[in-house]
Order: sequence, then C-alpha cells, then structure tokens
Amino acid sequence: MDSCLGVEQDLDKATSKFTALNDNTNKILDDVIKQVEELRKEICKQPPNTVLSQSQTKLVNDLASSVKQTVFQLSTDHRELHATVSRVGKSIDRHFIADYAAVAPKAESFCSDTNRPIMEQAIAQHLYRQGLEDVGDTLVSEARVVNAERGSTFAQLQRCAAALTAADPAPALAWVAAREHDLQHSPLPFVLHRMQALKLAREEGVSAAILYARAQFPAHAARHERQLQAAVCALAWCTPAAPPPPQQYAHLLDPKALGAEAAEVFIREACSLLRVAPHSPLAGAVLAGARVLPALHDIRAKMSHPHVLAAWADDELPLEVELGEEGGFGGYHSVFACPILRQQASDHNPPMRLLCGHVISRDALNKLAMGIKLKCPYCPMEQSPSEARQIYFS
Amino acid sequence: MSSPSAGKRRMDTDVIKLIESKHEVTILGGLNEFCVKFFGPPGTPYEGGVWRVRVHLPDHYPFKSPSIGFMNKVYHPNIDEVSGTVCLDVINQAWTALYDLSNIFESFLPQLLTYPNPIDPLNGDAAAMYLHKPEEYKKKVSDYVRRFATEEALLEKDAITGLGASKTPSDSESSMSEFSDDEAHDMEL
Repeated sequence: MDSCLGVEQDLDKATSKFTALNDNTNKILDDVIKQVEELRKEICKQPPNTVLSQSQTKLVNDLASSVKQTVFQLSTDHRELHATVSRVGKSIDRHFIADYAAVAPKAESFCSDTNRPIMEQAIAQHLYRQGLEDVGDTLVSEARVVNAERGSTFAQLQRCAAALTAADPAPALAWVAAREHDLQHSPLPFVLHRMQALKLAREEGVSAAILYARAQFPAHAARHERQLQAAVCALAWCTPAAPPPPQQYAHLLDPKALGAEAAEVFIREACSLLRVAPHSPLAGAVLAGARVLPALHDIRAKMSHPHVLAAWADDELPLEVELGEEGGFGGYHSVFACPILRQQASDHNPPMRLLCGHVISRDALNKLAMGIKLKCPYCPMEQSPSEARQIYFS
Repeated sequence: MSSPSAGKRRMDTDVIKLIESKHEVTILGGLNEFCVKFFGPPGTPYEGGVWRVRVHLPDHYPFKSPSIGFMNKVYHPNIDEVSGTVCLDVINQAWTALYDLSNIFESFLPQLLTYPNPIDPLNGDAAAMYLHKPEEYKKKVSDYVRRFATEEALLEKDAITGLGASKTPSDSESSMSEFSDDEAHDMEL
C-alpha cells in the first residue's frame, strides 16, 4: 500500500505539471494565432498581388521571429515534462519489484514431459470452469490435451455470478428456485430477492418492488430481520425525486456494489452446496503463489550465499507462509510435516502418536529413541518407542 | 545406523528461518556453520554489548545440540574466556529436538547471560566473583563490554578475518520515459 501511495505522489506531481503546462500552452498559442490573424486581416485589406510596403514587411518578419521564439520556448518547457515523467517511472521501479525471475519457478520445469500435460489440463479445466467453452475447445484440439472434463458444473455457476455482477439476478434466482429446499439455511435466497426487489424499484417503481417484497420477503423475515428492514427503508430513496441517500443505504442503492456482493455470496453458497471448489486448481495455485512470492523475494535479497541457494529444493519451500483461511482460499488440506525433521509425512514415514499424545514422524521417533527408552521432545514424558502408534489422517 | 543427512532438511529450514528473521546472519562455510550478531540483554551488566556468536550445527542436529561460541571476549561464568565456547552441559540441559535457532538467540542466550549457572563453570574466576562479589562482577562485565563488545571492535575483527559486507545490487536506470534529442529537433521550426 505504501508503494502505491509513493508512486501516486510522483504521479500527482507529473499530472499537475502536465495540466499547468497544457493550460499555459493553449493560452500562448491562442495569443499567437490571434496576432497572426490580425496581421493577415490587415494585409488582406489591400488588393491582392500588391507588393508589401517596407513597414508591413518588417511587421511580418517581426511576427514570424516572435512566433518562432515562442514556439521554441514551448518546446523547452515540454522537454522538462519528460524529466517529470521519467521520475514517475523511476518511482515505480523503486517502489515495486519488477523482476521475480530470481525466485519464480523456472519455466522449463513446466515444459518437461511429465509436467506439460498436467499444465495443459489445468489450463483447459480452468477455461471450462469459467464458461469459456470455445476457448477451451480450441486449446484442447490444438494442444491435444487428454482428460479434460468438458462438462463443468462450475461453468453454470460462473454464468449466474457473472450475470449478478452485471446487476441481473434472473439466472441466479432460477438456479436458487430449483433448490429451494437445500438452501433453507443459507443467506443466499434472501440476498437475491433483496437484489431483485431493489432492481424492480429502480426499473418499475417502488410499488412493483413492494409487491415483490410482500411475496418473497416474509419467508426470510426471521433470519434476516435487520437486513430486511434496511432493504425496505432503502426503497424510500428509489423514487425519482428522492434526495441522495444517507451513508448506510448507499451500498444497497448501488447496483454494481450490490451485484458484486451477491455474486460473491452466490459462488460461496453454491459451491459449498454442490461440493465444488470455488477456485480451479490453476487459480488456487496462482493465488497461493502471489501470496508467497513477496516473502520469497525478501529472503532471496538477504541470501546470496551459494550454500543457501543449494538448500532451495524445487519441490518444497524452505519457509512457512500463511495462505489464509477457509473463506479466502476455499481451504487447503495440510499435510503433516514433522516439526523435528521438517519432512512431509509419507507412506514410508508416517506420523506416530506418542503415549503422551504428541505426534512426530517415524524417522524422528527412531532417531530420538535410545534403546527401549524415549523422551518426548514436547513434554519430557518417558516412554518406550514401541508404545507409539501410527496415526492416520483422513 | 542413522544417516546424518536425515536432519539436513531441518538444518536448512532452521537456518533459512533465522536468516529471514531480524537477526544478522553471516554464513561461514556450509549451512552448518555461521555466525549471528547478538546484543546484550537489557537490564543486565551485558546491556549495550554486541557480540558475534558462532554456531556450529553437528551432523546429528537436531538430535544433538549445536555448539555455540562467542567470537569476541565476554566475561561470564559459563563461557570460556579464551575460546568463547559456551559450556556444552548448559546447552544440553536446555536443548530438545524441537528447539530451534531463533530460540537460542531470543531466549536461551539472553537467559544464560541474565542468570549464569555458577555450579558448572567454565570460567572459575567469573563464577566465584558472581557468587561472592556480585558488585565487582558487574563492574568487570561492563568493563569487558566496553573494551571488547562494541561495533568498532567487531569491525576491526572483520578487517582481520576478512568478513566483508555483501555488495548491494547496482541501481538500474529506469527506462520508462527516455527523452531523445530527436524529438526535440522535430519541435523546432
């Protein structure tokens, strides 16, 4: 955020300089044009093809040289603008990192024989999910992608959400109507009905909206009392002659904001109902990567030592990064990683539960054990290694 | 029996985590040997002192504790005055396989400096002074801090041992707006 503000400062300076110079230049040019026009009028008073008198010739020459000087001055002023613009560019370079190549995965790893088909599948799947079937089809045929699921339930949801963002709740309402029973406990139906009511108020007038509200709102009155009250009050500002609405209703009366919110709620609720992930694997990977890159870049700047670089295994990150919770990312399944050896659990090295309840990997257990005695590293409870049990995470 | 490389992943993760934290880390040779800048804990006679602390991670890390040494002089009952090595027993008592490197610099060393353990000393004089003449002990510690534990002293040591500061990357020129003289010519009549 600070970076954006820093660049914005320089940008504002450049913009104000532009505007000032623009106004100034226009004024000067207008003056010059006026002068030339006047002189032309003077000369045109004479019949054509008369030779100009000496004083007139002098006037013309003087004007010509003064115009030349003025234009030269303008071009010098214009040159100075470039310095300001270049400063904005430098400011951007200073505040933002342009080159992530040092920490980004190498492109070659995506093009290997094993990885390339997977990448193409992921892209095709993402396209189908977004409802871009024709683009997906072209990709599949040209790249000869196998195993790309064409029918995507998510695509239909995506279409409804896109319509909502464009302030049209009709497709979403149809979808919800078909699943009235399943969505009993979800806030989604009310959100959509509210959006529809306010839309009617805008397009057909408040009475139409009230009729609709009378039909649809009561079912949701118990769960969404406050929001229902707010929505109905907002109708008061939907009449053509209404004054601007107060702050707390501004959101309800802005079709774009309301639509965006409805789209978000729709995707979230629909996905959880149908047990479909809100992000495609490709989108999830990109979002996670965006979270991780700045942290990686910070470390990379501090580590130029070859030994440290060698520890940078391609398949596992050497540091922990917060990926956010359920709501933001649709949840990830964590794999157990032993806190002692920092290795991910596998079939050969499963997590083991000690007598005291603490869990470490089997390799760590073996190394910690001294014959038949073992001290738990978390709590120093003495026990025998054979008392540890393998633990299975589903 | 057990291969030393099993702990390598843990070693790498710990060192990288330490580097990523606010500590100033200098790698000496491989990821198992490095030194860290350590500041005397406030509220103790060691306050204001700055030491370069060398850490060596053994093959069987994290099951074996690391060895810790102060590279510039420090007066403490559990630290050898000549070599700067911290008493291994004291480290071992505190060490578990879950302990990591930032714990050493953020809790273990500050605690050791604040509460020396005179029962198992590497520096007998310091231990005796700490037990029987605490005021003199504090004075001697501060004296050593002033003489040996300053930024200047560290810089001098650097000059001798050749530990240089890392080079900063050169600032590249921005190419967003390049004003060429050709454009200027076009503007003239």
